[in-house]
Amino acid sequence: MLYIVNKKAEALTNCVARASANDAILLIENAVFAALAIEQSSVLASVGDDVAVYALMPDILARGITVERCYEHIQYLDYAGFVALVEQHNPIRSCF
Amino acid sequence: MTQTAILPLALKMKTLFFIIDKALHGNVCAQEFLDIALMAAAFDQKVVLLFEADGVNALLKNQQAEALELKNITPILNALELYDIKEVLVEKESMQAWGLVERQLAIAVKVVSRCEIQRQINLADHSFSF
Amino acid sequence: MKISIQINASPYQHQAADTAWHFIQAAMAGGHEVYRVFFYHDGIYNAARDSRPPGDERDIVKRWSELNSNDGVDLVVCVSSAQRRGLLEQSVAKKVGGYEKAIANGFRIAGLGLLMEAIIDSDRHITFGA
Repeated sequence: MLYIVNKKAEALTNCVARASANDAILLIENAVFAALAIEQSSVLASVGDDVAVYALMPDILARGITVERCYEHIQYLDYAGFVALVEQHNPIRSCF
Repeated sequence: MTQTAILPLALKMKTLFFIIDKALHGNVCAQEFLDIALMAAAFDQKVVLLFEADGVNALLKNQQAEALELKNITPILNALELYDIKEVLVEKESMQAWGLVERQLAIAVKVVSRCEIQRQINLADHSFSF
Repeated sequence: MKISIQINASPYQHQAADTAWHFIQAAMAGGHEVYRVFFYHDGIYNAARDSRPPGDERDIVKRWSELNSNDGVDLVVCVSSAQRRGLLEQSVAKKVGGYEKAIANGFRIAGLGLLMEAIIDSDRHITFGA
């Protein structure tokens, strides 16, 4: 399953609580702020090793976020990578 | 003028999960979301309604939405079986988080663990949320 | 892969329409078929014929129209969502025999049946929303 999350707070917390082995989480739009490794935004620190977490790079860049400030396990994708993720996973759950 | 689709006589039957994880009141999106689920059932698709997180509160008995001229969702829930929607799942962990037991709910549901729900969703064809 | 897209959010108010459009560009570049884009809930405002953003900003409605005219992508506005939100001009429908004149070029008006067809025939269904 692919979770596409577009905001922090509840949408992301609920998604992380449910993602299971071989699922993927893609952060888009304002959810990319959750990639920052800061204390007030630690939900992604608790994601299991068997769940891949991605962030959409254009959204990261648009918001002036630098990769050095983010959790190490985040992987970055462009839109072509987003499409590839959709190819690899089904169903797709959008979390709002 | 609305256009109707011309569909092949034998429709593929897919398994579709409709996930309600937020409050349904005061938001027409909730009602419109259920319209898709009902339409999917009318098109002979296997529809599974899943209530989790805040969404479990949509199932509470004795809702009095009419006082605010809001649409009451309970009649739609009561009619689900008529629309051939037989799978109404509620996440056990969400019920516990909200301190709810089945007799507080307006309709009969299947209370299922998070783990089992994730297993079932992963076998579905598509997932819908709002 | 056949991909169907559902857009639930109005343009400019949310990034959904932008994300969806960029995704569609990448999907087409990758050789995939974008089967249909279905505009639902407030997403119907993506078809607002008279949208006039400032000259130095992206024109989201025009971008969709061009997606249809240049790439042949099917853009469908849900009639019930549009009627509820006042997008469809009744006088236009009565005078010219169709709602299509009330919305931007490249979009067509239809019911949930076309969403059902998209769901049944597509390999993937993705919802972009608020």
